[in-house]
Amino acid sequence: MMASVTSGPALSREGGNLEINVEHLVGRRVRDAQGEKVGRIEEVIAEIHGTDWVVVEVHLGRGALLERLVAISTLVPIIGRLGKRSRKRYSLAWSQLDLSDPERPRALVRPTVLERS
Amino acid sequence: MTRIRLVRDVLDNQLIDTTGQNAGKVDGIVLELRDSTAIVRFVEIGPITLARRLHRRLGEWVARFDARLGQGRGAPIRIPISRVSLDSPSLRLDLSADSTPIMALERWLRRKIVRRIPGS
Amino acid sequence: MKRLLSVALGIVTSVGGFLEIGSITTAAQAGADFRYKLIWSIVLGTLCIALLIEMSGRFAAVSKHTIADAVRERFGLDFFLVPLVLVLLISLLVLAAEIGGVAVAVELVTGIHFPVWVLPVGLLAWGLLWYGTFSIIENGVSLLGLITIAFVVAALQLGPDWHALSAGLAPSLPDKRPAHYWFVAVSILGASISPYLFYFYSAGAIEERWDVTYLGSNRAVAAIGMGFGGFLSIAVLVVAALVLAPRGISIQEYTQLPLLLTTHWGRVGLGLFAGSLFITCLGATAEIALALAYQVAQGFGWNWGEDLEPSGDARFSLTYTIVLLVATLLVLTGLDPLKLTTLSMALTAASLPVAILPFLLLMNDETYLGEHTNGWLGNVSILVISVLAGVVAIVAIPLEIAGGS
Repeated sequence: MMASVTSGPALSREGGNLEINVEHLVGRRVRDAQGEKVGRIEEVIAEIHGTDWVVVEVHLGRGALLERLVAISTLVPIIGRLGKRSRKRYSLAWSQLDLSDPERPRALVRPTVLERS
Repeated sequence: MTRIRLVRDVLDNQLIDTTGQNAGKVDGIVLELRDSTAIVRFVEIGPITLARRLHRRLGEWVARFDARLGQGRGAPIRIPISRVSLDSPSLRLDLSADSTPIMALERWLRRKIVRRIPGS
Repeated sequence: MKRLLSVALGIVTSVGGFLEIGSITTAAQAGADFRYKLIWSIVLGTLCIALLIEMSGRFAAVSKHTIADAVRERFGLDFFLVPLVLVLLISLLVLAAEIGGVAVAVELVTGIHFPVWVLPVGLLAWGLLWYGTFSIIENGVSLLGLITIAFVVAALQLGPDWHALSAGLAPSLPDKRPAHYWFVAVSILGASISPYLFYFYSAGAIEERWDVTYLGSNRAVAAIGMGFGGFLSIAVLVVAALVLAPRGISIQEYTQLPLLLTTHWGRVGLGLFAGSLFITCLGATAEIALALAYQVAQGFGWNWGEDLEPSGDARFSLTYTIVLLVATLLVLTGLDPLKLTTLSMALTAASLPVAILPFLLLMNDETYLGEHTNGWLGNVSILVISVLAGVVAIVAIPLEIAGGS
């Protein structure tokens, strides 16, 4: 099967299905039902069910520059001391993420705090 | 249940094809949204996808330029996720890159410029 | 035995390839203007680059990835692009300076003004990369670069004041022209710690298929090779201190540089100086062009490799071609080679924190390095040196432009 070549902006309708690119979700700020800021999308987790890669949750964080670098790489002792407070990360189930306006994602429930891994 | 971190372990990671050559980096990942679920459909590769990440206008500009390069182009290259497997930190493509448009620019440059220079 | 030979070769190529127009010019200026007082800057710069080279080699050998490749993978597109663009822009200036250096070397021998030689030199460098292989370029040019030992001979012959020399090993505050002092100090750091070097080195380690067994050799090459290289820079500084400083000659024109060897060795000195300049700058030109092409190709996931025929990696080959072309054109705009050199060295120092940070973070990432991540000492040293270099450079550059040459 050849790679199909199709076009589309960040969110598009392809053969009746809505599509969105992960790299456009990253960094988007998520707000809760009251409009309060929760965090920015930092990671998208998928699980393999059979032959499908099903998206199950997103991880939210402050999305700040330094924090992104530290969260992405493994713990760096020197920088680790800084911003302990801001390293709260949240996990939100995909089904609880409202993407009806993809530029302004909404959390339908309170996200759970992610333990620092 | 294998959990995959799409941003950390798939996006921007290296794709290696069946012949062992570099098939580019995963420049984008396409999700298909169905009601409240989503599945990963494709990985996207190429300058259009990259340009879009920086700025949408830039992406359109690159797409127009790319369209001039030949038939059926002007759109991001998509590979179905079923052809991709994790081989941390890289990704294995069970296709040969040459059978896809991934190497189109490489081939074009090779033909038009490199081959014209004596002794290549 | 084969490994020993390879280490020896690695050391020799590091030594032979260490000097180039940046290190020669900045060391000469330091010696001429401040005698031995800035030796500490060369020591610091050499120490830093030795550490970075060792890390770069270790990273490639253990993770089987190059740095540029891993920076994109781990940190994503934007954190890859920012250092890339910065290093690219500044390295283009450095590249232009090196091409200028080769052209100046030819001028010294032929008497024909250097702009005439710029295009042929660019073409020569391109030809080396297009038709040559990694080993031929690396080894060939670097072995010839041993001609720079002439500076050591000159320094010893002139008989330095060993007491003053050893005092210069320790950092000291200037007793005159402070803005210029710090400017030369950071220029020396920028000349020694060039980001393109560690991109180049990690790519080289992959080209030569290093693995974990090479870690010891890697450490030896980094320490001894860079160490001797720094030693050569110090020799240039000493010669300048003994030849130029007593005569009150400050380096304002590139035509003054040969005085380092001609003052006492006459025409032989001219030949040795021109030869040194030609070879070291040509080597640096090839290295920088390759390093930039590596960075781009690896970051975008293309095929790359000097040993591949250009038709096997067209995008990579065309990248270094374009890089060389742009740099050649830059020189042709008529920039003074001396000013271009010192400015590009200082700008390199200013860019160090941004260029080094992603690399430093990677060196602590267990996914790539397993148990071979950095120790705290390595981390702290690099962090302190690069931040200091950046800060001092940002202050010193405007001051120098305002008050100095």
